[in-house]
Amino acid sequence: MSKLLRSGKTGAPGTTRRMFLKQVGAAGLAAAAAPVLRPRVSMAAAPVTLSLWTGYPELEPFYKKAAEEYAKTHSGFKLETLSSQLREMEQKLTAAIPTDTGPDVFDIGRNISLVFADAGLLPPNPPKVMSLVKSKAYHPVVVEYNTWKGQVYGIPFQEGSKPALFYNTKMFTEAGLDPNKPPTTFDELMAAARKLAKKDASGNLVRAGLSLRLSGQGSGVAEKWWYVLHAMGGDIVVQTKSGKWHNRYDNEAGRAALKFYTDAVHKYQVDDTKLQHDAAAFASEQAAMLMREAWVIGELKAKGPKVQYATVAVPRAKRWGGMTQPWSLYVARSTKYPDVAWDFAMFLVSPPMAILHLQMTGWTSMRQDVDWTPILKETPQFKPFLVWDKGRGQYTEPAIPVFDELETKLAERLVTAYADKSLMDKPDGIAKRIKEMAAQTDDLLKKAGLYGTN
Amino acid sequence: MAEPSAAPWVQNSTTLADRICGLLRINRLTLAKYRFCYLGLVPVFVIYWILRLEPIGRTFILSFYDWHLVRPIKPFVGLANYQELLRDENFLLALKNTTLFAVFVVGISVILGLGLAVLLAGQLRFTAAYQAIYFLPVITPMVPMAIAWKWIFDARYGILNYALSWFGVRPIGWLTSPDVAMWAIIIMSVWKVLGYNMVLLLVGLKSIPAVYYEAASIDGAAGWKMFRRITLPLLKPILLFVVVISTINAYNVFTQVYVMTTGSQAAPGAPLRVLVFDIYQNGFQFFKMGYASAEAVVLTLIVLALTLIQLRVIRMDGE
Repeated sequence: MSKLLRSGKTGAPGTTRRMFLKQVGAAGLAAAAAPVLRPRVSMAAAPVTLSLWTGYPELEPFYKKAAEEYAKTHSGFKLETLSSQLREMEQKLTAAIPTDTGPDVFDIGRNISLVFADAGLLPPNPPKVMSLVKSKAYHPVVVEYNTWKGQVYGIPFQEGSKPALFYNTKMFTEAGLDPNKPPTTFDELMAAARKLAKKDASGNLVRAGLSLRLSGQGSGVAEKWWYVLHAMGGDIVVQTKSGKWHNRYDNEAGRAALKFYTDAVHKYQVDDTKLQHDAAAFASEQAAMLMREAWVIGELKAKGPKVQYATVAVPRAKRWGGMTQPWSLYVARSTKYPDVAWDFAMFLVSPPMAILHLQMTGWTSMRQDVDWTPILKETPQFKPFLVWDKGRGQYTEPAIPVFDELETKLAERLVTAYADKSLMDKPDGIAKRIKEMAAQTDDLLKKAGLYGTN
Repeated sequence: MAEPSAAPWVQNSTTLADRICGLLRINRLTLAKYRFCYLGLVPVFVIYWILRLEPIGRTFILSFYDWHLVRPIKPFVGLANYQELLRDENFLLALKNTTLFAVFVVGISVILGLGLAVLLAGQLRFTAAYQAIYFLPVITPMVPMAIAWKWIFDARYGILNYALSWFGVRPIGWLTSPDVAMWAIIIMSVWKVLGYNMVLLLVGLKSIPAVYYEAASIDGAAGWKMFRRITLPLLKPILLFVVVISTINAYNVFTQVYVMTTGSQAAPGAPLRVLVFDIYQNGFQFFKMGYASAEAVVLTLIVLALTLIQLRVIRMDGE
């Protein structure tokens, strides 16, 4: 080569050294100028196919529709989705994320994402995403929920656990209650439930005044109990000034919350384990009231279109608040297209998509900067889920990896306690049960190295 | 011209084969047969190693580690997981519940299976049809059956309570009441395995030579005496097999418990906590694989010990 250049010739016939240098120089200039000179194209102009996994199969049509919308401004964009039941998805992700064989984008609860974040398997949000998450679009409690050791992970996507009180307006009228004045305190709730409960000639309860979560297993049982516990002034765990944790229900609030359930089942018999429960019971008018999330509205449209009902915020006692449990979107560290993946995740939570999300799935968005007027005009029952009253606080699960285990094990003891008739009007018995549950909670915190009272 | 000598590897091979034949005192043809058999078994053994032996060995090793499924650091903790098990209320409850379940399911399904087998071994019409009917639950998948039984047990709409209502029985919360939930699972599980036990015992009954019964009847034996003195002793090997297999299966109960405790209309968790469910929960819900492995090792040892005891007791009795 050097010999050729020295002789003034290159390999190509008729090319002189001067010409060769000119060509190289021109090519270098063109390469350097390319980013400036090329026409502005969208981020995903090159064909990009992202994979998205979800533990909620009902979200799949929304994701596909959103991908179609996204592709309109990002040519070449495609989305492949995979859905399964939540527990199976948790297991799939738990095997896939540590081995970098998972999807580009996934939605999951914090019980899983926290474990990933703790193990350094999840990338924290990039600056562009952070500016969205820390904007006024989200409540500070929600941002805090997604924070682990000072870093924020994921984009809050949908509300996983915000409850409201569903009540059957027709039954209210029949029972002599004013449907425009729903219960606002737990005392009023119990009084209304007693009026609404219905028994047959043999004395068997055939309609629950208030349908409670009394059976089954899993953390959901404890979560529902927490609605009452929080109003009574307690919490499942609380953090101390030194950053440690301990139970906060071995107290008057915890005893009052368990008494509320014991009274409902055994003393006033407003609910019975033998009855049908949950949204299905409300849809078939076997329950007059129910505390549940917004997805019940969609369920009622499909399975109980004739049910006349309204919704209101969960009642208060010493405190007034609503649980929030953001379900977030995460981008895997193994994605080949992190910019596109984050951009698409941000698109999924944008206000137009938040409305589409609610319309298609019944799940509500975590954003508080969306104009919900058209939705509320069409379905006013969404109001307590979308519009937050002044004075109504928000509370959420603590960011500790052991919380799911702690809540699941508490749930098991609660179910046993609910079925125990001997606890009726027995404050000592209730106190003993609560003490045992609290001891287990503290023990699990100790094993995780998180327990402390100072 | 000199004879071409054999290649060195051929000579070595010949020597090795001869040596092996000499060592095992077999001829070369038998050695070739052995070689063929073992080579044929290699793929099966490799699959068995990968799917069975390796996971069992790994489970045993994992049980000595604080092996969290996700966390990168998995420290060696020696016997700490086993010590923890002894203090774990959930594990002890699961052990108690599983034993209770196994005792009743094995006891009821073997006794009922034997009764049915005796009935069907007699001169009954449509025996094959009855066998097929009783065997049907064995071949039906567990998950849909568990869901169907969840409906059968439903306190308000279930067919079982409906049938009981004809006799004036008030609705029973089969799955939702902690006192009866375990019995509901036992009933469903007996229904599922009864046909399997019956078929095995029926085969055993039919293999007993008629000559023993003829001799006994000449001696004046009949009915219960003949059953006790002839049928039961000669049925012991099959009976032993049925009891051992049923016990192992009963200790591994999981699917029906998992299905029937899921959802708001489901059975309570605590009264139905069984060992495999506890292992599943610790391993796949709380990701404590080391701890779950320790539980799995304990379960294996329990089943192994019970099997050995059963084998010994029935053999001693036979001797």
